[in-house]
Amino acid sequence: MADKILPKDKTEGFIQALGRKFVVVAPVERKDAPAEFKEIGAGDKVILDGSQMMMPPKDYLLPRYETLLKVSTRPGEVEVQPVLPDEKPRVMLGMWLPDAQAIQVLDKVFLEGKFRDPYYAARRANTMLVAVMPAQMRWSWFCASTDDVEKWKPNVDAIMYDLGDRFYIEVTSPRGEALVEWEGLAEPSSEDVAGKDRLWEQFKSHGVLPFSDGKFYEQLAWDHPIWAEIAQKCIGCGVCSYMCPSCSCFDIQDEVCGTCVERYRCRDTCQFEDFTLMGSGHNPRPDQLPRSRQRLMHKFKYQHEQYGVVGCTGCGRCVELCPVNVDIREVLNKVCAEKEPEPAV
Amino acid sequence: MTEIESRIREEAKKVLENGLVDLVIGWAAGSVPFRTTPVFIDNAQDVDKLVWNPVCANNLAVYLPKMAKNRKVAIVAKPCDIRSIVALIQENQVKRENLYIIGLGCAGVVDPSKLESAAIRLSDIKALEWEGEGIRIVTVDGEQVLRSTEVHREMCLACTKREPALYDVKFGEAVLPSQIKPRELPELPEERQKYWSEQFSKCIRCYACRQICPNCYCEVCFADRVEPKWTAKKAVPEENWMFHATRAMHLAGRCIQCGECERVCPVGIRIAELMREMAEAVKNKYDYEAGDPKEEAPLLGTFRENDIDPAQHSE
Repeated sequence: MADKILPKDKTEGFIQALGRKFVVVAPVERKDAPAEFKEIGAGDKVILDGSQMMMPPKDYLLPRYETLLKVSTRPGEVEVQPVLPDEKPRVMLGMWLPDAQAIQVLDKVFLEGKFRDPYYAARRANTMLVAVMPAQMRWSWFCASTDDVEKWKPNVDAIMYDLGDRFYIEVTSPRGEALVEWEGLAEPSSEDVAGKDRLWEQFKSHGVLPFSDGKFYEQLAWDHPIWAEIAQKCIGCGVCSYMCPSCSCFDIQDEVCGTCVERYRCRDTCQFEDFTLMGSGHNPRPDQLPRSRQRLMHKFKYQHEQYGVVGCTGCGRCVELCPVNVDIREVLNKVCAEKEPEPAV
Repeated sequence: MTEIESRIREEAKKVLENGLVDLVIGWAAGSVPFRTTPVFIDNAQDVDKLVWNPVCANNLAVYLPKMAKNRKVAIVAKPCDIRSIVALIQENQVKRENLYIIGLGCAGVVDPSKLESAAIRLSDIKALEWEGEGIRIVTVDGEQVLRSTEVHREMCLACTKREPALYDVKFGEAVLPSQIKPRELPELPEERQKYWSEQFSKCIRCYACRQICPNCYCEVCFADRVEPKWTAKKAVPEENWMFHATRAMHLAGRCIQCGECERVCPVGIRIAELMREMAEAVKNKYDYEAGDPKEEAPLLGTFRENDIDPAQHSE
């Protein structure tokens, strides 16, 4: 496939060219806050080099708040209107590769299996993913510990490697060819190819933790003492899951306004007390211990069993942002260091 | 290990061994050198886990209402953390006799994101130490000293209360900042409205600010109530405004300005500024400061004859 070079001073032209064919979604700079993925407009400053913490791209595909349907009532009449997003050709730029892989996890949840979520599907259907490989690996990344990252490449349509004054655009899927048709792009030199390969090798070897034998999901035990250790310090906020690129749990609420009702969905997390609280007052996860266990077991064990993918892609946001420094890397190291997988009987 | 650190450990060992307390809450080394993590020690053999350095950010008082309910607990605490403890005692959330406070003179806490802004690669950091008013940063390439204004948390740059106000034992001397950072908030009401609208619109409703706050101890927060529903769960500007404004009002006269809410916010909402506004209003109108042991009761639980009448003093 035809790889290309995008000189950084031509980035604006490149984005404009893409904008003639696609709705372009990219991390847009915000004041005092991580950049956020949105459909870019005039005046937006786009951050394409992956050098900073950004909101997870799931915020675009699975918005924090989204109207599902509206109901209007008149005497003797009830009208239900689903509110579906448009299925437009889109391209998402500037996401870290682990974030792009996290979208694979979301796809498993919302597109495959018994139920296909029409809202997610509409945004995702014609959306191409372009990942970025920043010039410097982020300290909190441990992507290569969670999976064989070579397998991730075909899941995106292109990867943009930051080579300083230029991006090396590696096309990784047949439809990704459509992304590099712009005449402002140049042919890569052999030095460029070497630079790209160097970055890829860095990514593959960065943050590889001692536990990484690719089998840690077999070693997570339900009754491990680590859950109590985490639960003791965990304050039960939603930072880890709301910032996580693959956490997908949501709540559905109905809101009445006069004669109409809005049904919307919004974020929810297994870390909140009311997440599993029943109407009867019973709560199957009555305190923090089962909640802390759930988040990690779900990512590293249940999702692997269900979908064949690991629910964590090593983006490091929870590592960086946890208010009490529960470091998921440390947790996995501890759990896996002391226990070899039991031999199959 | 610094001298103060070793004295904290000795003290923890002593109070555990002589049975004065069942548990010591303090900070342990974090997973990276620029973070620490809360640690709960019930065995004197484990006291060497305790650390004291410029990244001991967490206000550990948040754990007290649950952990010190029915047992005696020693807590290692900065002056701001101690003001939280005082407020919790005044509000009957913890009993003074259940606490053994290991108070520390403070020289300000580091904001790791400022280190990044100062072009220090976080992964290069090996240690952070106090150096007078500034911070010595030991990296793989050597070491350098940065001024407090370059590296300290915003809250610390405005803090002059660096001596513990209540303690059973005290270690270390306070280092006061030589210059207090001036306020930067807009003055005009419409500008302030715009400023806070922008701030709150960022909120993702993760509730980290509420969960980390020692004085947000309600068993069921108004924001989680369904009947009646005070604010919807959706993260939209108007609902976010409702959440943050109500939380601020609930903390008026109670917030002790530790700035934990702002530290943990993943989207950089300047919550601590709002809290500082509230505290200043309370100070100006009622001459009351939350977390001051001189006060016998919480502001809203007290009546003084010279209290102003809000009906006559709407500003």
